[in-house]
Amino acid sequence: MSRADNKPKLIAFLETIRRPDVTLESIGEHDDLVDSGLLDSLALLEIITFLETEFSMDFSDTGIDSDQLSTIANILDLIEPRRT
Amino acid sequence: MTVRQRYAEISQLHESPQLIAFAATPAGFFLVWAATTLLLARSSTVYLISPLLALVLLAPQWRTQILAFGSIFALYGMLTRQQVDPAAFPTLLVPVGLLLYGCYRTATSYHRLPRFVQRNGQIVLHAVACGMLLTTWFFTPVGVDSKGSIVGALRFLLPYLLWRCGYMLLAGRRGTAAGSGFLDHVFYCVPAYGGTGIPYGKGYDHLIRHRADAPRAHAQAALAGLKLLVLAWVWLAVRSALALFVYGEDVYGLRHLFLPYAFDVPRLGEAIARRDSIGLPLAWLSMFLELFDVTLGFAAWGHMVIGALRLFGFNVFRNTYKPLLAESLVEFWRRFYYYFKELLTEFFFLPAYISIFKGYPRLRIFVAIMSAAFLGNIYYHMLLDVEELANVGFGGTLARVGPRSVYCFLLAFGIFVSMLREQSRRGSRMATARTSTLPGSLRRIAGVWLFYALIHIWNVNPVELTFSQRLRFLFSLFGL
Repeated sequence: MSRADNKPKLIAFLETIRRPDVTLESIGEHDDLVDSGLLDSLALLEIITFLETEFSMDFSDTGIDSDQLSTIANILDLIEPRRT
Repeated sequence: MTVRQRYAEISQLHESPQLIAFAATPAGFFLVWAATTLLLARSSTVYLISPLLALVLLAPQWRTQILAFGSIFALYGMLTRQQVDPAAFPTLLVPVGLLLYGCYRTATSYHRLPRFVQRNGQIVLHAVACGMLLTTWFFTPVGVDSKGSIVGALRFLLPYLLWRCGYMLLAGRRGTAAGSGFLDHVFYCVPAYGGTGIPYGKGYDHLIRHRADAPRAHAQAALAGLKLLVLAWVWLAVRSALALFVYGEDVYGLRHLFLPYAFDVPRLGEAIARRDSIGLPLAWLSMFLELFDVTLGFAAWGHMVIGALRLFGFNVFRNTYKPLLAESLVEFWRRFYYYFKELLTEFFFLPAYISIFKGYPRLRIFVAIMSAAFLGNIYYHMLLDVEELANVGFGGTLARVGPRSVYCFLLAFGIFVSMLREQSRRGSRMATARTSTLPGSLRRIAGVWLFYALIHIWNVNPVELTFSQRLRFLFSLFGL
């Protein structure tokens, strides 16, 4: 699955956990999801669970930090690291 | 223009494009430097921050090297405050340098380490540090005050460096430390911009991500830093007024002038100690005022440190951001002491969350929160107080840790319940209603104040007050 395929999936998921008073359209790919008010910090845990179930990711080896989940771009990088 | 718009305009002055453009000019940088020096004039850090800032503004491309150079003076200042003999300073540079260089080498070659160390890097680091702390007992036995000696300095420095080295290893684990230089890590391990055992600005990854490289971005960060320094002064002034008029304490020798107007409210520790001699309303007032005062203190101190960090061109988040307006316990915790919350999250919460009970969502959250806000919180403070705990022995340690354990447990449990409530609210209509009514917001804010004020009974004056004094005070608030 490419980054382009993953993005709609992620956006659809974020729609289900976002705060109702902030719309996803107002957030850029590099905007901080918590600071922009779209998500609360608890939602980050749900993103981890989503990545584990949807993309079979296991963080117990690599570890994870909140910065890696802070923006849509960072999450997409986590799913499929950018190829340079 | 409405009052709200005018307020927004003033409070966001540092975002003004014209001001940023001016601040990016040589004259603007000079004014930023002069204003910083003036704002820090009464602080002991001015002698370090002011010259370093001048150098960073002149040669921003060398900022990590300049700040790493400042680390030597910062370390010297810290040890002097710990009453360590200045003659011992060169001797202490050796173990500190070795520890930092050892961690640096580990971080930059992390993926070549044995698999066990890769998986458990933080545990290995803590095991080594705790082993070194225990070794110091052979040199200074329990009950002997080692403050001021080299052993005492190590007992102070190890817990101070531990979490910063932890962030270095995290960068190694993620692969971001590869290719970095040693000095890229020194400057945040012994920060010239100030701080406590808690790494303000976190570690390498976070600082690099928030580094403002372009002159305009640096100017914007510097203006945001100046704003924080001004805010710190405001909160310090409010605290001083509180001490003078509400607590009737002496501030700058002004007590005799204002004594007739002071309310003489006892500090919470004093109110707990002499609960029988003060009335119920005064006990409640003392408890809420303590929360207010502690919050102002954290905000002022954090703004000073983060303000300096922003001035050096690292546009990181504030440590404290309007916690008294939080409408849930978990929101308060996030806003009250951001970098401590981040430390507990990175080193305890997330590792527990991604490792165990994956098939049990609630249990998974509960265990992760208890690992962080309860166990991690106690562990952090035990390490910080290791010198004093060594002096009071095992019995004294238990007496001291006991009340704090209650505080940490209540905090963790409160956050867990609050998280579940947030989870159940999310996406529901209730959430929309929640943000819309003022009385509802005020009720929730009051609930948050009440919770944090009540649990603080278990956190105030860790040494002087006994477990039973605190319990009696708590019950007496409700007429029991």
